[in-house]
Amino acid sequence: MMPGHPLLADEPGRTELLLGNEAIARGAIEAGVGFACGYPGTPSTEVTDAFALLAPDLGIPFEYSVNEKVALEMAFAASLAGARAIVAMKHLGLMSAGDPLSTIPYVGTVAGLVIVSAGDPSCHTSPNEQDQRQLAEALHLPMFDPRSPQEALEVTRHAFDVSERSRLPVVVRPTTRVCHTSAPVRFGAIEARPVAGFTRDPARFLPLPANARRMRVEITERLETARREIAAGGFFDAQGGGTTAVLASGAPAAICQDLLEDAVGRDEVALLSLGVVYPLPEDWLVASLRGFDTVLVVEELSPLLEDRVRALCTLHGLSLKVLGKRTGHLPFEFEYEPHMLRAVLHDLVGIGAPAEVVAEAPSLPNRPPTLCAACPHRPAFFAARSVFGDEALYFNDIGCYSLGVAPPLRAGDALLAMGAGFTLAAGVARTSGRQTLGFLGDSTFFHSGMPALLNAVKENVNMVAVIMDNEVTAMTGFQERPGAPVEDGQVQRTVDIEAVVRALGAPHVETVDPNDLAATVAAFERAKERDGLSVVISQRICPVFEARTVRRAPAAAPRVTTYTIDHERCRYCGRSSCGQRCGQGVVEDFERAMVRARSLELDGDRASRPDVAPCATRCPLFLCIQGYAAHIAAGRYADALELILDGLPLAESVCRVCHKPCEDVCVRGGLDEPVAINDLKRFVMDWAASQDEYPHTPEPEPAHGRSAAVVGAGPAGLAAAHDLAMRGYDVHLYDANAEPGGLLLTGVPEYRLPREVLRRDTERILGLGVSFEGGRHLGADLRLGELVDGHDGVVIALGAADPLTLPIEGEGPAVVQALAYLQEPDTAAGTVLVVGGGNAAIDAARTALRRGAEHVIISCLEARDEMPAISGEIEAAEDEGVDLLCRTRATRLVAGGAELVEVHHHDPARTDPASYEARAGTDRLVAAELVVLAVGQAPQRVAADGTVELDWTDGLVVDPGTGRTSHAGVYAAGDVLGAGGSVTGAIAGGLRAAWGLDRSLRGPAAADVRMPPPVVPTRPPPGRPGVRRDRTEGRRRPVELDPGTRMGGFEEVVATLTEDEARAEAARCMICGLCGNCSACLDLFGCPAFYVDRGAVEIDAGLCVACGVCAQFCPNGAIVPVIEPAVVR
Amino acid sequence: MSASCDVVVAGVGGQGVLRLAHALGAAAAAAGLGVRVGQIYGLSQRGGSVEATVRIGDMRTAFIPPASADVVVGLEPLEAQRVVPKMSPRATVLVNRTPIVPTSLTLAGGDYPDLDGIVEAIAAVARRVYVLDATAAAAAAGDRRLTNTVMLGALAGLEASPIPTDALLGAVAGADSSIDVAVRKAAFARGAGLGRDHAGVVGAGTATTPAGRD
Repeated sequence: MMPGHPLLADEPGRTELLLGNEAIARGAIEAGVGFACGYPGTPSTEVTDAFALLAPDLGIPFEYSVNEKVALEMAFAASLAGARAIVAMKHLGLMSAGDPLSTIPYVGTVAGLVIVSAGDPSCHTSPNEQDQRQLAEALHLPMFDPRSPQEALEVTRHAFDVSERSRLPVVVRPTTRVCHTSAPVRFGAIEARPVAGFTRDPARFLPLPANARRMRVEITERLETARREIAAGGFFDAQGGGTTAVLASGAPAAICQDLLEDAVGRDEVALLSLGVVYPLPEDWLVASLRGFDTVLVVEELSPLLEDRVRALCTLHGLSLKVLGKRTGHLPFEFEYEPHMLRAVLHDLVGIGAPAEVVAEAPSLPNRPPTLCAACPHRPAFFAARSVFGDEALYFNDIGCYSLGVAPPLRAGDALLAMGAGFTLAAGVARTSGRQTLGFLGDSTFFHSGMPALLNAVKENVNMVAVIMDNEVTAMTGFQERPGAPVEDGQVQRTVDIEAVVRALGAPHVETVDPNDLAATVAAFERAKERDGLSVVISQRICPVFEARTVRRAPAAAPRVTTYTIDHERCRYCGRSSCGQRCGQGVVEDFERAMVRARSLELDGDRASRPDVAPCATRCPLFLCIQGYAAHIAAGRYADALELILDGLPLAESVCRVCHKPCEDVCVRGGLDEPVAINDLKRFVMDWAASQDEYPHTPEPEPAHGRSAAVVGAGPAGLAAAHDLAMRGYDVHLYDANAEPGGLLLTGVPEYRLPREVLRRDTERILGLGVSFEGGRHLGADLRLGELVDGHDGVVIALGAADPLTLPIEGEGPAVVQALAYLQEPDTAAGTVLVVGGGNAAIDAARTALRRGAEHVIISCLEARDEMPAISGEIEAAEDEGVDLLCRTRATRLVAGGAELVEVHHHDPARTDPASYEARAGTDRLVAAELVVLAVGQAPQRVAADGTVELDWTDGLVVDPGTGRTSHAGVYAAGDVLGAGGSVTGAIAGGLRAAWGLDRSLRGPAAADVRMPPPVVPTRPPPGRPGVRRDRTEGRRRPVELDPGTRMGGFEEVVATLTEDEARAEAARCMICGLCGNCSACLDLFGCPAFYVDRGAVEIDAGLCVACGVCAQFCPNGAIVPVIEPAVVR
Repeated sequence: MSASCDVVVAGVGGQGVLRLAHALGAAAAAAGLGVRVGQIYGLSQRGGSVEATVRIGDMRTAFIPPASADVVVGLEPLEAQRVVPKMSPRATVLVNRTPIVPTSLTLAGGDYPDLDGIVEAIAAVARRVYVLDATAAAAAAGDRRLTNTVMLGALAGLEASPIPTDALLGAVAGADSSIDVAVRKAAFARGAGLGRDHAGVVGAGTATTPAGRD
């Protein structure tokens, strides 16, 4: 494979520029190594990488073992089999291999065994900077600490001899600065070492207690052999003279050599330095130290050598001042840099120049490492966070994915060691009951995640274990791991992670491609719903590894090369997104709810979606329904409340009486069932009402001294009063009734709208400083002319209280108007016939039952599905026992009842009563003791007094957009402009009138800060984006009183969704419109290819490699592919 | 130029900082010069700040003490400024002008610092600052990933190190790389051209001309 590789050159004396780690590999090659293995871990990795590359040419077996324990045992086994063996790992790995490590010295090696364990002072790439040198004496391990790459080669080569002669494993422990420094290294000769083979010798190889005690005694003798062999190797030297000596060990020795070169040359100081840790060449040390007054011991981390020197001084009677860490001259922590050592040496022994003042590092934006653009770990974390939010706890592990702990993914509540991502998640879940997720990589799974997972299976811990399989050990430089295909002649061996997980007994396992966001989010959704352990395997090859190993040919077909931002659709700049103002700040929970909804869609064509969601388009108030749904899904009820109340005064009442046109056009209806939009609103309003302190306080504009009168305190008038007060007006509200509420008070029965609820709504409006006077009648004790004179503006918001009648002939039962009937609780019971098909008819019928009527019949012209009443109300009436006689007309009153005739209807363009024709011969008699007429009301007549223009029917002449009358200071809204409107329509009219009046009084600049809902014809038509998901989910229905119970009185029939139901229902919203409160790509995803330039989000084409994940979740469909044409050959 | 020269290479993980340092080291060794190359890797390779040191001469370690770098090769402006404390008053600094916005900055809503300000901060310490568009030159040579090779070429064109140009070109040609050797040589040549064009120009500078105290 690499026959010409320099590390293989058998040319003694040749010099090559080598890393310390490569020099170690060369040292082993020169020693005739017969087996190599290890587990990658910075800063040790290049040792094993060299063998991974060269083993075939060397003709020796090599393996990246699954973990360090396995690696050490493999190497030891090779030694038993008579092959010189080298095994490499980082400092942490040696702890992982601690069990076999501590017994190998007892059993003893056969062929030389060298353990490379690289240290990392200053924690450059490690979670700690432990000092493995402390293990040497404790575990009887001869150990070297090379001072340079050259010495790294030499100690490694020599270590094999030491090991064989002492029958002890020998540790080479370089630190980062030796491992990762390249220097010219001089080669020695390569020795040939045939493998001797395994020879049976139970007494030698079985550390049974009797043998072990004998072995322990032998170890003491073998250590003496090691000491002699190491001393013979000569990895220590003394130069210079004087009264002070510096004794340096390992990497800092080279720094001292540089710093003291001149002083040593002049004999001003002595430099003793060594690359041996244990057993020390004590004779040399004692001899070299004799005669000096002072010695400064320079070693990193623990004062191992320093303490040993003190002990030797005592043992050998040296009167020497020993300085170092214990005396406060050098720090215990971190690696030693020349700058620091120079200062210490100058202060202590007056050598060299004093320390310079170092310029302070400039204060610059820091640049921590991040997950690469297109890294598959990012969408895996992103999907998990989108589903589990901030409420779950996330435990991370050791690998590239550790970077997922950083913002914005923040998938790291704790991190410890290889495999601990699962155990931490399991332990915290078991003890705290919290939902936890543990993340680890494929290599880490095989390393030590498997027993951790098995443990979680055994206890069936309620957690989600996520294995992030990128098919390679990426962090340390792309080493193979057991799951990856291995070329072996024609055979490819693979370890199937999912099969392993299943074999471990995990009950729920799913494998997903994290770049398929819909599937990944759905998998996490299922994991969330389950009790007990779920395993999600996120599988996609590391694209960096793929790019290195797979050469891409010029494209034969057009392909996506990068993605870019469509600034027409991106709303990052915060501009109003749908012609509506939105004063809410961007919050991550909300964005997460949005991206979760978008991520679940299977339809890739997000760019075709409408600007405004159909529900908002159809809502008379143009409410941002997807906005409050996302807030509810995220558990942010106060934000949902703010959004609702900002666009809808009287929300607490409206959510009980709304005709819900939004739900008819809900896009979710095309998938399964419409979102229960009204129930969500009700949930928020009832939640707010149940709080000790109301969670939202509106902030009206400061008063500017202008006053406005509003005549009529129904929905339109209350809405106008609310908005005028919010606009800083002094508002005076008048009504003929003693209390505000209008038709909501007089026309809606309590079982639908409890009076307490309506009172809370009206009190919120009056609480803005609106003064209310009841019992005032326009045209009687209230004159329009006087109002106009006394205020800056007037809003006429009278209703349609004048009931219509029917031309019914004959004499019979008493006839009463529905509105009057609803307000007169004493009306007699018996059999009641209600005439009409609207809400008033249903209300009258259901009220009659509650008042004890034995039988209630509704006669209406319309067919069942044409009735204008809210369909849920009709169903409720039927449930309660009301009989519907659709397509009938009451023609005549007779004694004891009324005559009805069946009708038919031919002209769908007409809905007036005259368009229904009687069917001849279908007359019949219906018994009734009371007939209630509910056939509509006419607008109230306005006593204009000549102040405003009226048309020939005495109706107000108004501008349809704002309700402006012929008088610039008088606006009108509500049913007075035309009966039969909805409550929400009346409220919208009131809001528009307030805006119109404000515009005429203060001008557009001030007035347009609060925009009212647009008039229906000016809105975009509801778009119908085709959406697909891989699973459906029906809507949640609030509990209703059962018909038997509810008939007993006027208790509210429909309950509120529970919190869990509401959040789940809100999460069904597909968020099909655009949103202006979004920077989800930056706030949640954090791909390094994104940046902000002059207030706009951009994608760096040089970094984006077109993984396309961002385009799948962008709530506004604003991330679009850039397609490169095919290369024509 | 004395035979001793301390070089700091700074950039962003993925830009080829370590490869550039290794090429410098290999070239120095091939030219018979003493050399140490120091680098810390692991976490730093994932889009984080990366710094490597190349010491040419007889030193035993690769540490470059504060205020003593003779040459700084900055593959990215902000990263060049980050190593200002390493620059000696006699330093020659090469800066690739194409910025890579740190993700942390984007998330915090901050703006990338002004290039002129960066050059000014470097010029306040170093003797000369050369700003060049190495990323564009690499793309023009055929592969954007060769930004580091362009910078190495510029270093050769400026004769800013004691390593002969032949040795530098030899290190580029001999590198273990998946990119075609002709493309690599072309990138080096473009860099060398940029360096030669600038070599005689000295003065207070803007973003496109050399700046510094001389």
